[in-house]
Amino acid sequence: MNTHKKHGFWHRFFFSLDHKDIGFQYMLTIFLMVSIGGFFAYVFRMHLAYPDMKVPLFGLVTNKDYNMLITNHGLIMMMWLALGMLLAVAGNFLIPIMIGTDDMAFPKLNKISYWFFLISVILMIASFFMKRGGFGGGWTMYPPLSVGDFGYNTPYKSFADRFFTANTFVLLAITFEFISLLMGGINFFVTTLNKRAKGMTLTRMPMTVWMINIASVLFMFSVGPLIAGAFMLLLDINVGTGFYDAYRGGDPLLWEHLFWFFGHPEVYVILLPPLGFLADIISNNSRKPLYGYRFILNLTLIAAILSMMVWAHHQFVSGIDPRAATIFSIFTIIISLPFAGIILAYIATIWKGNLRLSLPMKWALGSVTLFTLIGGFTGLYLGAAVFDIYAHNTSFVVAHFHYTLFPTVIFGSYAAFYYWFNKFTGKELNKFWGNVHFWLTFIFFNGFAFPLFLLGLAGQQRRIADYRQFEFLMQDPLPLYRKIATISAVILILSQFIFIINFFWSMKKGKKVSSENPWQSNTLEWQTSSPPPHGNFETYPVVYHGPYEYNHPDREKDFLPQNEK
Amino acid sequence: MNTNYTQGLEHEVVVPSENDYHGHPNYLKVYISLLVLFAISVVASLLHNPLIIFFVVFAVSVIKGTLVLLYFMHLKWEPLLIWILLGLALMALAFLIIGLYPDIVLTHRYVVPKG
Amino acid sequence: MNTSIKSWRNIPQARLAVWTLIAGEFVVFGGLIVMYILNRLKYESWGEMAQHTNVIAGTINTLVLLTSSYFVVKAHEAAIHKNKEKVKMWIWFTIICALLFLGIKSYEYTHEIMHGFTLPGKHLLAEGKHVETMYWSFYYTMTGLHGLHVIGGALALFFVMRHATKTGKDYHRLEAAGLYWHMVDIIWIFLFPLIYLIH
Repeated sequence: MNTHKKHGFWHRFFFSLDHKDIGFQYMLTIFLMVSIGGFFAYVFRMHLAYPDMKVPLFGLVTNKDYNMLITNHGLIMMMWLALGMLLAVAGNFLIPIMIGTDDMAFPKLNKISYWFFLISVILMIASFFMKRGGFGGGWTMYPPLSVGDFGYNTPYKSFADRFFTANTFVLLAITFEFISLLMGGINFFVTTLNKRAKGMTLTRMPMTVWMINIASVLFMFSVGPLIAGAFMLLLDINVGTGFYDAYRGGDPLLWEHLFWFFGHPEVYVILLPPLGFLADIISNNSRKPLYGYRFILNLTLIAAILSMMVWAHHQFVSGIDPRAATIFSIFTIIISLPFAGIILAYIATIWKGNLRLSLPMKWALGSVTLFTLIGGFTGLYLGAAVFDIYAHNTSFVVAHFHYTLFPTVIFGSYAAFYYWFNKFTGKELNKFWGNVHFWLTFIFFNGFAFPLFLLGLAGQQRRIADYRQFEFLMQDPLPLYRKIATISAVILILSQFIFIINFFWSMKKGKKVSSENPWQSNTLEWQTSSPPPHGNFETYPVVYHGPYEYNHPDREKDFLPQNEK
Repeated sequence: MNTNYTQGLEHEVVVPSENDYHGHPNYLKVYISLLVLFAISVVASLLHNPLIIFFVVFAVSVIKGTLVLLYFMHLKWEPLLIWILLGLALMALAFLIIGLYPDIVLTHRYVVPKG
Repeated sequence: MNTSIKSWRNIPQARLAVWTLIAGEFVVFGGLIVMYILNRLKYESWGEMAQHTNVIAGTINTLVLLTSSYFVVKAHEAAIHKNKEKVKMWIWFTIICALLFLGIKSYEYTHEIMHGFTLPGKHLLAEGKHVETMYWSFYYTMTGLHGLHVIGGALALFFVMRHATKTGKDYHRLEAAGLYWHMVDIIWIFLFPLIYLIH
């Protein structure tokens, strides 16, 4: 049983079928992508604060460079970091072990989806080195900008000239990534439905498993039209069709609709898995049952359906039908209700709990606070067309966007990292440097994103490389705000190295975990050895309880593992 | 791959045997009705009123698709979950139609180029 | 278990996965069809272009695909009895249908390209028919994407059949691959009238 053979490097990183190994492969790939995306952010933030400076490690930023940097920063962070980390990594590591099974339903399909992901990463990186330079059409890839440097009139000489452009490569990369995530999502869904341990009914599953699954299904239904649309855009670039060319009866607005029909549900696709982590972490660290399990679940399902009816609020200034704008405004504001309910349920979980301010809990609280108080509230403003038309292309939107995504994606992922690290490596992360990392990230994230609100309200546009032609942007406190934002962003990026070093150092030389269940958690992943062997469990666990039975009045211990009678 | 650890352990999730847990309709009957419906749509396309053609042809397509789904793909015997999945797909498409309609059908951006 | 009462009971994982995939594919093709219908409602001149399609070839192709669907269910029926010879026969019939479909489709493509209805539509653009080029763009995109699915479905059927008949097990995979094939058929059921019949 469980002859835990040591596998060589090639086996572990290329051919392993074990879900934890594949999750680790995804994670390393994503670390690579994030460092590229973070570097890009550093370069254009420096350029924005000090326009004439030669940015160290990059040089002078031309306008074209700026477009390329900002586009690829957005693409990498949205598509590879957020979707990859929260669906692929979290799903691979957590789903099989949390529902008490040995592996995915289709381990080979899982492997293939990683390879597709790797291809997408290679294509994306290759796109930086094309003859015409990296892709600079905005991360939303609106045509005609994404068709070529001069739209539909770009003078391409031959098919090779069209094909070996960053535009084609980025589109192909995204298509490959979507295929990878679709295969992964089908795998998660089937695993969850068909491979649960004995006694693990649907309502005994941890919230994380629910949320990743809902997110995967939501992803699957929203991405379809965009895959068709990306195919059409590829034809527009490479064959010369005119699907989005107004001169030939096409409509650039069509792409915007297709993109946001995916793009807005995607925001919820990457919001739901962190909400799942938060449910587990907050309930565990408050030593209280999660408040309203079914309530949260129903609200999530309602939000998932509503999220497909709100997409056009990204297009209020794109010339959509104003009557439609009203409807989309209303739905956008309605969708904040289910999420308010979920956050209230989390607060009710904390209420009168026996709080443990452990590192994951700090990240979780930081996430809830920033996401609700600032990210969510400014979302209400921007959801209303009347305000959005004023603020749309300013850095107000950038700030809002970072206040929603950073607390969920980054803080949520870190909460999960600090929570599950001891499980999957059998080592402990260094607490001191963990605390330093948390406080630096928390403070300097605010230092970076908050000034952007003020800049945006003052009129700083978000897509303009050289703003010095606008005198009102050079008036006093604004340059200072830009500098605060930039310096904070640089420190924010640097402080992530603390985590990376802590992560790899602890993995190699960290303290061995003192017990299998250091957080005294109920869920199944803590009821096996750390790190879990291939196949996860010595014997399949049998589940008797829900995942959140903390402080049960009949028990001596304040927790009750799911597989304990 | 070493799969010894699965031996002697059971799942509560009892999956029915892979074969034959659903009924088998008379496939030939379904096939013939598909052909008849197909003939109807081809004949209808010879009419002159485009609106009637559209509705007849589209209705026939829907019926044909449903027949294939229900009997050839055995959807009739599948659990509620599959119906919900397909329903969600249709719902997503309905949202897409409603969202796109005002901006594509009601708006004319294309101007006939002069000369 | 021949019951039509809907319940939450579980289904074999291969079929569950293919059903999920089918639901996803419905959105992809549905999105394309939705875009086509909406543009069709907007531009009446597309009806003119639809008259240039080869309705007879399309009709034959529909018959071919409907028949292939019938062959697949017969193969599935034979797979339940693990009747190796019959499985082989019905699947080969299906694959021949797929090849026939692709052959007729490429004949149509050649014919249309010879008449100047190409993807970029330079010929039409020169005549000042800007909007009409998009009809052909949609035509080639939809039928081309569908053709890729035909190839994929036929390959899946072939490999699953070969595996099952060689090793004598995993006959249930035939049903999963068959489900995918029926989906390809359903998509064509919707594409055919939209492209060929309505003018």
